[in-house]
Amino acid sequence: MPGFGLQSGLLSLAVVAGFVWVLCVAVFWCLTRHGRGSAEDRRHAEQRAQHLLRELLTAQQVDQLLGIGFMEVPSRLVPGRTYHVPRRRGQVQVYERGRHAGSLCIAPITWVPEADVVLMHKLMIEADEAEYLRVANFFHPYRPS
Amino acid sequence: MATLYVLSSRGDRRVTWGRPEVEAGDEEALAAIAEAERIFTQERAKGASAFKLAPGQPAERIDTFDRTADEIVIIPRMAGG
Repeated sequence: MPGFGLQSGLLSLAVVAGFVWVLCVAVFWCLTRHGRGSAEDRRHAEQRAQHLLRELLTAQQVDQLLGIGFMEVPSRLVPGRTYHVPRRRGQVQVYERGRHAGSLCIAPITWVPEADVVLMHKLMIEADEAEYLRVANFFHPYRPS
Repeated sequence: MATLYVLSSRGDRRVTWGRPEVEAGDEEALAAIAEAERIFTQERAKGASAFKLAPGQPAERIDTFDRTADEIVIIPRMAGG
């Protein structure tokens, strides 16, 4: 029967099209649901991290972070050097006897909340400054000649 | 209470135990400190760094689990950017 082949072909096409449509809907649903979940998870993680930072920093350090946007961590290796750890993600600024000496670029290898990054810098500088400096990339300040 | 904090993308995870209870052999406290030690070893094997905190003192980096610590913080590995 010549018409039977055509009908069979159309039926197969309809089945494949239906399968593709269901697959697309499933992928879209998974992606949008995952996206919402991630945003909520990250917001929750940020809240937890800020709470932890307040628990582990002194009141003076918290005030400094909130007031001027960074926290000073004194060097234990170099007298007169301080590290300015930013409240937000970014480079850590190095000051030596009040003069800007450069910037350090170092970050966790996985995403963690901003407040946890502040804590990580502080712990590394206080407890293993030599390793911190070894891992970080140092940038000299721009000084026009 | 002594606490182990593990920083991650989900915020910190905490395990707490009472040191007096551990010394007294309390089962729940012993289980908690064993769990903390297991997490410590697991995270260190993944390249994480661990720090011991004490009030009014700078943090101290530790390579082995310290049962006498009040607070231990484990952070993910850092790399130059």
